[in-house]
Amino acid sequence: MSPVLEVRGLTAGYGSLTVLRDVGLTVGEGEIVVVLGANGAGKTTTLRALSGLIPAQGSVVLSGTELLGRKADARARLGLGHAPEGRGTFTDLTVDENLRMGGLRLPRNELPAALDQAYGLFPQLTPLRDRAAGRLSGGEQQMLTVARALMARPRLLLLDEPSMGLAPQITANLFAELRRVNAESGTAMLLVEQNAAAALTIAHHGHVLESGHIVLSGTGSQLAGNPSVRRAYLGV
Amino acid sequence: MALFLQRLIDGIGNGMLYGAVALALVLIYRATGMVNFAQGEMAMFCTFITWKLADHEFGLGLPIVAGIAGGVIFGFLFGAALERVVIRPFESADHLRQMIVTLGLFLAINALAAWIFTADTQRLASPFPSGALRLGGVSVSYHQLGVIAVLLVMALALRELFGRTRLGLAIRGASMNPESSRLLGVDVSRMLMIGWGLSAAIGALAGALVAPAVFVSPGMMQTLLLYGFAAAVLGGFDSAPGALVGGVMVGVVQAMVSGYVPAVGTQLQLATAFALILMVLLVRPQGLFGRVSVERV
Repeated sequence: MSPVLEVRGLTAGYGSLTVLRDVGLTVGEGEIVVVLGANGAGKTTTLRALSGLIPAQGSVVLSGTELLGRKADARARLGLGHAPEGRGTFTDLTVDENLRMGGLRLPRNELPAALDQAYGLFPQLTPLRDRAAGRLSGGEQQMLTVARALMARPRLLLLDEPSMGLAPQITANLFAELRRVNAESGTAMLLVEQNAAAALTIAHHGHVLESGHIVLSGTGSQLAGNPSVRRAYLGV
Repeated sequence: MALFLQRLIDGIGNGMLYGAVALALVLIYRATGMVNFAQGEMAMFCTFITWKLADHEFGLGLPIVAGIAGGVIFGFLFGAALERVVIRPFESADHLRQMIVTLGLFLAINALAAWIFTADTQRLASPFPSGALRLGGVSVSYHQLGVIAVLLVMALALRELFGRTRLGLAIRGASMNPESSRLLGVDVSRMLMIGWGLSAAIGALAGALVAPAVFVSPGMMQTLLLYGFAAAVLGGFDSAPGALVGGVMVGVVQAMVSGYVPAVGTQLQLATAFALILMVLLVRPQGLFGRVSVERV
């Protein structure tokens, strides 16, 4: 089966500063792939280069279509979803409007079901639906960003540190929900995380990124059992 | 009493026009997050187009309603084209630089209008019947009534557009957070273009409605733009109904102050607009209907 995402020789940075060098990875149909790395390893840069927010060289193929050279909005319309880290919400729009922004391209008759699904995914958001997103807590905004990206029904969802700022219990719930969405809808996911313990529980495959290079790859359980991963990212 | 009512009605009539200019300002602010100082001159240019289409002596002599429709359609294309050609190169620049570009546009369009059309004052007919409705000692012209009706319909239509349609939501999202909008597949540049087009079309309508009273000339919108700013500040820069209500309040205050305070008279009328802007900014900076943008950190 051909992969949903095939990245080869991805090199990217900011101005004259090269952050990523020659990164290669694939995400198969229905797979969850995690990229682990410390602060500054290039995790966010990887996702921003994939979704077209910064220029990059190499090759990024989504379901057979080369993405490099296309604008970010065109990539999104081809089925690439991206839940950015931190404050990616529309702060003056309500929670409901934020979700509708995610569903702009859905057929009209599918919108109510998609909204129900989003609130079903994060019931905490239901009582907040008419509140401006800027008034939500960091964790609630994080959930909103993920739910909003899922509204568009992407083929591949890029998730930038979804656990950031969340309490451990909420992180565990979020990852369980991501796993469930993945199993039910087959949405492929590429997740970058510092929280290796949580991420490896749901990942089919994983990579370790250090200083812009992939230094280690394997299945989720291989990485969880690898001594250097355990030392560096699992604190054991 | 009749004099008071007459002043009130005149104030409301003028105020609706200030409100229309304010609406155009608010629209571009909501769509792009910036204040467009060229708004009045863009409206003036479109009004000249309406004049060219409708004038029997110097233009094509079309019915005035057709002339206004032509001016409004031209306005949409003109606004969209200005965004594409003049503003877009500064899309990634900060708002300060963008606003200075609109100041340059102000001067350029003003000079261009005098060069292409005429620097002389021209007449434009009202699309409404002449004459007035008399009730007691108060008279309301059909033009005033028509202006009020047209602008109310326009304000409601805009509220529907931004509150209920996908296009309106996409325009608001694109102005608020361009990056997240792109990640959701929104073509942000196109939204900005549509925002400029809509705003210029509203300006064109306001210009055509005010022209029968102030005549058509390159400087016709400049005073109106200042009152429009006062109205937008008073109503709240991000609220479409607020712009109209703000306009009416500015119009009424202006009529009352110049009518009852001899020291102000007609000479210092414009000062009342500035006084209002200052008072609102001091007491309630977000305006009467504006939302305070809150973000938890």
